[in-house]
Amino acid sequence: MTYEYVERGPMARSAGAMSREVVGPRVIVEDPDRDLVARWQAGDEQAFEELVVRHERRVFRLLYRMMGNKEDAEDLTQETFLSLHRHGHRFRAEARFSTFVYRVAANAALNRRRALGRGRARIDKLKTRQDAGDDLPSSPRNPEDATHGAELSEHVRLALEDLSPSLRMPVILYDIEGLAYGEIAEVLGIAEGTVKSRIHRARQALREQLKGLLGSNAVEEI
Amino acid sequence: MNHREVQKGLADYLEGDLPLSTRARFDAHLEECGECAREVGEMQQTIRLLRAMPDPEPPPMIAADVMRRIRAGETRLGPFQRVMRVLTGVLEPAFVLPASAVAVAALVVMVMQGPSGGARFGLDGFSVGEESAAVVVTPSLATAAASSPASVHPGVAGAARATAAPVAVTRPVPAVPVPDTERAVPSRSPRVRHSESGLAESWMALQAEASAGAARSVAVEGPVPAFRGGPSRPLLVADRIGAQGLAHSLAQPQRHDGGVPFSLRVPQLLAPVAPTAATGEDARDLWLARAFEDPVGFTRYIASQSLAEQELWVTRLSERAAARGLLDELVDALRVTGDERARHLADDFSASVTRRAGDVRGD
Repeated sequence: MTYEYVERGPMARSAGAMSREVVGPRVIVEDPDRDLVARWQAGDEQAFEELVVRHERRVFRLLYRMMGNKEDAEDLTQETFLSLHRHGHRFRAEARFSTFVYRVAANAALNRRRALGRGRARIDKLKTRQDAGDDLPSSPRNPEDATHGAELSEHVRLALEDLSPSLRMPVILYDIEGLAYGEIAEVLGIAEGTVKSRIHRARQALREQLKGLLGSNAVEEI
Repeated sequence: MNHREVQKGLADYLEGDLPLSTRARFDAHLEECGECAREVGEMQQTIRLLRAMPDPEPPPMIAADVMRRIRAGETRLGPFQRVMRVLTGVLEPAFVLPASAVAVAALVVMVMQGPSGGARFGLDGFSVGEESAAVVVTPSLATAAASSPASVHPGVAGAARATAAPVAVTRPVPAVPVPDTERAVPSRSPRVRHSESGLAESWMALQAEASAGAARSVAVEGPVPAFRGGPSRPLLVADRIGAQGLAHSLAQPQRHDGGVPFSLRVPQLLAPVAPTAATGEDARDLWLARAFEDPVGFTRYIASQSLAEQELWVTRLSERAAARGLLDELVDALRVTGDERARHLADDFSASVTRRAGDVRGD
């Protein structure tokens, strides 16, 4: 079984929303990790290390965006790979290995957040913000305050954090990580239609959160 | 086009997925309607903001740290996990008798949360929360009857903290013997299941009756952990089907006499398939029968499983169908339904058998 995979390519992401209509041809992509996975499953630990090196960046990125801080992200990134190592022999080549990796990482993030509990997570977050002297609401009172890219993305990050994990994960995977709907559906184990609607709802929620920024010069220039 | 139509088509418009004609009408509306135009503009800006997020720089030593921890044995299976692997086929999860209580009842796993601790990973590779401290298992009905209390896994890191967690044992319900087909215990690997309900999330027990006619109940003896929070919060680890039923049951949990023992009614969702022991049939035959009887319903059921399970289903059922010379018939039965998913499933079934010869497995 070969999974059909829509390769959106790097351009799809940087070219902006409206050019997304060109999704590109549907191509069958062989899993680039297949050989490494086979070697690892045959007992070659070096191959596993190569797999970690290959995937650590995106796992870390996803977890950072889900968790909102580097410490948790790093911790969970390691846990993700340890878990893969422990149980990854169950992986068989019907799906892309990267999808499997994302899936384990996504589960790790969702479970960690659940374990923290919403209440505690919010309190922690507030505390972190206050400690950092940043107890602003997630959108600035005055759009002129947000003049730098870094500041803008900080606001986006905080707005993302306010989304429920079930909305945040799909929108991160789609808009930031650049996965296709189908792959996200596989990662999260939900229907493609659900993926789409969650992404839309997430964007709407973000728009509400970021209302104060939208329309400012800084955003227009992006 | 009006506001409502714009709302409906907005997501597709933003993705450029609208048909050209609709898109033209959409654009025309945007030119006339300031409110919609502003909304579309704001959504586009939001998307741009998201995509402009800078990538965080990962810490430099991840791979080295991971490999160091692996070499230190952190991913080695503990004695408990090795037992579990034999029992449930963690590395190759045994085929499930999804609706059959025989299978569901064969394994009850509880993961109890201790007061503190780092992230732990579940038996199937997914985290079961950060505070798991002990795993309490009743491996099968047969041994459950004899074993008390259930074994606590010493190998799970953090089990030392389990002293704070109550040990729960399941009370076996009358069962027909598990047929000696396939692997000894045709249960599946335990799976972490988080239901929508906070209650289910913080509670887990799963037992189902063994055969038609037996009481459908889940019984857990021993100190029953608090439903919410508290120092010992069990997480749900259960058969998915059981968990669905469980989540449903938990909407109206029943506690008896001060809460112990705790009993859950397992709803009709777990309606049993005909008893397998009586006829000696392979459980897979029952599922094959179901597939022939109701291919679309069967497909829908399979499709509701996680990918890993779907794969397992396809593999095991196609094996059996092929062994009985029913594969082509099964594939046809699925294809003629006209249902798209059933067609895909049919493809998977036929591909599965061809593929198996070249299947490279690491374990």
